[in-house]
Amino acid sequence: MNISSMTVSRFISNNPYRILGVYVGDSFAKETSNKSRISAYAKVEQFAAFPMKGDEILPPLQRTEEMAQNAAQILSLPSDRIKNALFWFADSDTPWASLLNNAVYALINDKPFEALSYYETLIQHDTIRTDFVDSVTHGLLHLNKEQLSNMLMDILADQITPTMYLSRGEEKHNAPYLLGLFFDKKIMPEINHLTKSFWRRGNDFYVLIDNLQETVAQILPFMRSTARILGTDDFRYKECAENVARAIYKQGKFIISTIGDWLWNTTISEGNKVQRATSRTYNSARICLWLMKNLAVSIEKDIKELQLDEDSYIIIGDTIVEFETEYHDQTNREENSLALVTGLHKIWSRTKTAIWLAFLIFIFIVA
Amino acid sequence: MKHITIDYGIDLGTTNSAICRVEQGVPTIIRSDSGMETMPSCVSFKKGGVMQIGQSAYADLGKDKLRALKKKSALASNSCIEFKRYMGSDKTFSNINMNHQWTPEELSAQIIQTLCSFVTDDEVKAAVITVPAKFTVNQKDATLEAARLAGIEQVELLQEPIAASIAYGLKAEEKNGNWMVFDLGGGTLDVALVHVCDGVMQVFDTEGDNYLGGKNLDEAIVSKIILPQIVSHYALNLSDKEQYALLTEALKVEAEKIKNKLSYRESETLYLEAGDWGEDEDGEEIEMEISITRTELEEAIRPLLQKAVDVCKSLMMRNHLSFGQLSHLILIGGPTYIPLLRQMLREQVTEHVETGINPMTAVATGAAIYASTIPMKTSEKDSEEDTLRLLVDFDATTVDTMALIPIRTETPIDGLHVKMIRRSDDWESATIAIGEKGGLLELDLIPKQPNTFRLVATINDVAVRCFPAELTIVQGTKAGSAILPYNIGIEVFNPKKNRCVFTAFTGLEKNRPLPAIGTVYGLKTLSDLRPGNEEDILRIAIYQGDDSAEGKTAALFEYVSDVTISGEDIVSFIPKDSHINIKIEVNRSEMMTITAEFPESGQTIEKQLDTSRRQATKSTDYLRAQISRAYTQIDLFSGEIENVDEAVKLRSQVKQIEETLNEGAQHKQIEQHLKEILRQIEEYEESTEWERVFSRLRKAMMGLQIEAMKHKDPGVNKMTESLNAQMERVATLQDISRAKALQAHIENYKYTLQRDEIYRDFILWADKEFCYIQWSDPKLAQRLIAQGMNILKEDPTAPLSRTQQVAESINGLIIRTRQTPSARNVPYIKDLPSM
Repeated sequence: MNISSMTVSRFISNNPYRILGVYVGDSFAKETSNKSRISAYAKVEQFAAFPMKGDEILPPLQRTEEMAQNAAQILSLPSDRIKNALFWFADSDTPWASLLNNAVYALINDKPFEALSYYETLIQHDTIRTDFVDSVTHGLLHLNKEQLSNMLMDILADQITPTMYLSRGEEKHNAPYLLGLFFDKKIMPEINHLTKSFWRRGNDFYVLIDNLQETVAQILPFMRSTARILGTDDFRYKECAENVARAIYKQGKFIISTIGDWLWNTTISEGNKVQRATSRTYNSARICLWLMKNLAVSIEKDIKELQLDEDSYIIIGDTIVEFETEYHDQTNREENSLALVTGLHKIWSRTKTAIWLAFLIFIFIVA
Repeated sequence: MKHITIDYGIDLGTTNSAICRVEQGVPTIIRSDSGMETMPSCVSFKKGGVMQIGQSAYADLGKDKLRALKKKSALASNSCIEFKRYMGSDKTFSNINMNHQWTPEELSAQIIQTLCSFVTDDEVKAAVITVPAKFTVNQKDATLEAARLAGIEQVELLQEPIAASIAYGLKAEEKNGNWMVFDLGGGTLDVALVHVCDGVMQVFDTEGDNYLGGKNLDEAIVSKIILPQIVSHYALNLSDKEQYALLTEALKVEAEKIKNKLSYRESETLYLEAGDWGEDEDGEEIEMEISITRTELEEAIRPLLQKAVDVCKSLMMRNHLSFGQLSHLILIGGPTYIPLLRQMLREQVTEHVETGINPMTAVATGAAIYASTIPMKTSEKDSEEDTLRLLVDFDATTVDTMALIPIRTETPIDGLHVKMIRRSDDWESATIAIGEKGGLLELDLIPKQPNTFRLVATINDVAVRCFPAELTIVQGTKAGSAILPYNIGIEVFNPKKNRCVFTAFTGLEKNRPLPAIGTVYGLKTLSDLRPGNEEDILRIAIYQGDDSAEGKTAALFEYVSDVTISGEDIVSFIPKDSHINIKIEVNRSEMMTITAEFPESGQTIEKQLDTSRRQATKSTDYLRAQISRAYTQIDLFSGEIENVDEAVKLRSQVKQIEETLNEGAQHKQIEQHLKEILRQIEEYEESTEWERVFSRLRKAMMGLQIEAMKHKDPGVNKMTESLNAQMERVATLQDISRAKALQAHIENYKYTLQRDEIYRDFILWADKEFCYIQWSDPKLAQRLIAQGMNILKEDPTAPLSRTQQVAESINGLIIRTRQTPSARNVPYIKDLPSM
């Protein structure tokens, strides 16, 4: 379902201001009067009508007494007045009224990001915002831009899909502050959820590697979009990128450790010295080492895409050290050469046998 | 007299009560049998069970208290006063003339009944009764019970500040702006902020103190002025608590008179007549004159008045209102006559202090006006046989100049037409036909006055009598509804905080107009509920709290009641961790109905909240234990932070409460104040948590940096640098959970660096303490220790790779160690989490 139908139905069509037949900023007296009117008509099984903006596009409304009472109840607290005022029309010449009306029309016409740009101006401009809040709450509430933005995005965040956010990353944007909030509320949790979905069960390392690469492939587009929207210098971007990098390194370390555990499956005792060695075939050993090296390269490439700065590298330095230590331990053992030598020795033995057989057959044929 | 609206308002005060009635839109105070507008809230019992109520009881109050003082027994006092302060509690009143113990509700019922008896031309069957804004649900329930005992069938409760603002709004010329209602009565203080716009009044915030009123001023006059003077002349044993209380009670009666007189005079003399006050410890009869000036009085009561003014200031600050932004400050209650109080309010709150309204009767007047907007519950028997019963709904107060009146009948009547004619100028409305669905009549209203209309009904052009015969609409003002004075919430277990915390209902926030509906979603049951098993219980505890309540320990707020759902209430099994959604409906009088829904099993259970249970008064021992707990908590949290000013302030507040307890103050009052302090302590704990957590984190980091310097390893340096950078990042974010996780990480890494040494020390310790350790296999332990010691003999700095296996094997054989002094320094081998 797209934003238009959800927002329109929940917050605009059935907006309590609309139900009471008033515009944002109208007096309490008018709200009370209209509520009484609706109630009076309802008692004789009729519906009070209030011609309003948006009637030509929105679904028709039959105002019952219960709807009017609920609407009045919702609008009784200043904070709820503001929340609902953000999604209804005003009827004055003030700057905030014009921005608000444009935003609401944009939402109705399924242009959420255009709406966000109007909201951004309404919220960021101190005088306009204060004027708006005072008009709606009649001076009973004071909100700074963070509070008002959070109020708006708490509602709108559920209406914007991650796909829409991804597409936004390609275009020029006019609502960086609100989009940043959206990132905090929706995208960051989504990314955190993805980083937690790396598999940690089983020892089929091919499957583990596939899982890592597929998940990273889902995460990176979000990071790219966010980098374009917020910039790589943005604190939130950095935090998120560091968390992603850390998760990738940790998962990489786990996979390398899993491969290593499979590969180095025997022990050699020389006196007091005990070492891990392998009884796997030469080819298996080669493939494992190749997988580990390939994985390390792939991880490095993914980390580079995150565009971390020097400070971020320092912060995740502990995880990098652990990853590199694990990688070094698993790929630079003395036993590596032992395995390869053993492997080569076996190949050489088999090759020697083959040459002798060939020579004997040749002699036989010639003879 | 037939009423279509309630029309009666009763102000049930701690010291004085009043009743008012609205007739044709005009409120009129009903005078008592002695011609007074108010009646003292006093009941006395004579021999033979004869009761005196009101003025006659109050006239004997002074003598009654003196008699009790002379007989040295509280039971000898036959008068009951200030019982409103005990509404909702388990306190009872008794004396030798009572045939049983009387509850505060029963005494209040006598006051209500007496007030109703002053109405000689009507029977009062319905009334609006006022209550302080900060009355709890239990106290309100007790008030409803009192009304029911008095024979009032239909009762609505209204908060006193709202009643006062209605009364003032009716007369006010200017009907726009922010008003403050300051209601200081005999026992309670209520302050309310009212927003008025084009005549529509809406209370948008309230604050108050249920234990601050004129009676406290009287106590201060006694303890600071009168008693010291008596003590300086006579030998009195004030350590006897009962005697002290009797003396204070007797002197309070005089103090009240002095207080009232000094509102108009500069000085007054109190005469303690010989023979009235008994003798002192030396057998000397107490007789003296005490001269009190207004200045002395003001000094004695100033701290209490300042406390009241501070409530106003706190309310304004919370709503971002500055001095001068209030257009009116309306004074209600007898103590507001005190000149010092008026001066303090003018200086500290606003210059626009209104004194034009009668502070003694405004609440009753406003209650009556509000009552005139509530339809009376009528039935067919209320109208006569040959009278046509019309169902007429209308708002009795409005700011519109045109009113729409829906008119219906219970059964359709062919040919029925109705019009209305205004009494004052014979203006006529249009005549409308009343069809099957009814009809709508439009009325033009004369602004700023009551408009009374006579209903004229005809059936097929033949005039018929109808009920109601007339109605009144007051144009110019519109009272908003009562509001919730608290957030309503439930107690929910929070696993992160490991305690039960307050979780607010959405829709039942403080200042929400009543009636209201609130919901909490997303909860889970903590145990199974088996159908038919009454031992399986789900308890839903309801609390009320202020704006800071969310997430705080629920028990520190006012408990309302609880609802239990047992296995007997359900038809199918509800396992642990099932979802449960809870809804509460609160009516105008704050009575609640709770509905619990279990969506997974499709079961819904509805129950009425039982608020009739009276709050038990806590014992002195309990209160002392809570005070001790408060001191301990403050010490615990202030130990780790630098700025201890807040801790000092909290300790001083706890000390004040302790002193109040020692002085014998009301336990309920102490309990309430103690809860406020414990909440502040909890807030203090939360507000300083970051400082404490970061302090521990910094210490851990310093320890790691010292350890890292011993290792000349670039990997260790890189790790330490990374952890330090993370610490700085956490400091910027002030993220407590991340700080705790990082501290654990740092400590684990430090342990890793020290493991070589730790393992070596462990082997040495095991060797030294061998005989004092309980081993699961002593022979094996001996062999392993010998092996370990050999390794260390060869290489005293043997690395972990050589010692790990042997040390961990030794560790695995230990059952118990002896508590020797050296045991305090036992090297501790622990499992490290994967990093």
